[in-house]
Amino acid sequence: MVLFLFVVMMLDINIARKKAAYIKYLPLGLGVFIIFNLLIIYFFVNTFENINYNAVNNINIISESNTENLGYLLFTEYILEFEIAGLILLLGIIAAIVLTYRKNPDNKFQNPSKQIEVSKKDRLKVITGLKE
Amino acid sequence: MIPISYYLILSTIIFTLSIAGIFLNRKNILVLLMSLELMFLSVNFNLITLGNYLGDLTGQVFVFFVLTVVAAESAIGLALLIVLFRSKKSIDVDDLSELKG
Repeated sequence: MVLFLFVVMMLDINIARKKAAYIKYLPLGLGVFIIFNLLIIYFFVNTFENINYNAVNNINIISESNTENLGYLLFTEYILEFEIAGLILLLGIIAAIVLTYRKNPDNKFQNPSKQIEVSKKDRLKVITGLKE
Repeated sequence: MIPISYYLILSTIIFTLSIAGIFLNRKNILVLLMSLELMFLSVNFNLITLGNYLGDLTGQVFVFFVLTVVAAESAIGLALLIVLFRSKKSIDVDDLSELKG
């Protein structure tokens, strides 16, 4: 979904340059499209023609609602896979940020470890004996 | 009730559309990624259809995991695309000819 947004943002920059290749590969693409479609549709129609389509076997585990059943399955039977999916998403976030992050030298930021390491001696100077 | 072959034919048409998109558009990497995404979506459609046909919710659960992998993949792909655009100032496939033998 993000991809489509990206395309809407960026696609109108250089739309004129790609016309040539489009014409060049049009017969090949159309041929692949039509042949694949015919093959697979022929197969599907032949295979599933005479089969009765009975959707409802025992799909209702805990309730009538599909969403509720899905949630139930996700959190009981597939909980490990669910957590692995979370890890994969975290990996995606980290990879995307690491790849695209550029450090701006003009930015002002705090270094937390230095902030923690600061002791009283560095900040505070006690001056005694100033009266005389 | 709509026969199952209609669902499968729709998903096939989407899949072949994305294949034709990859064949037709050899210029822009973004459009290639879009076609890839469309391919994933048609496969997911197949999973849901056949899972429903077999009376099994596992197909729909599997679609969730496929979608997470697709999301991570497209995020990393877009990040790579941004890095590529920074170094090359273009996202055309023809400009990526360093590995040419």
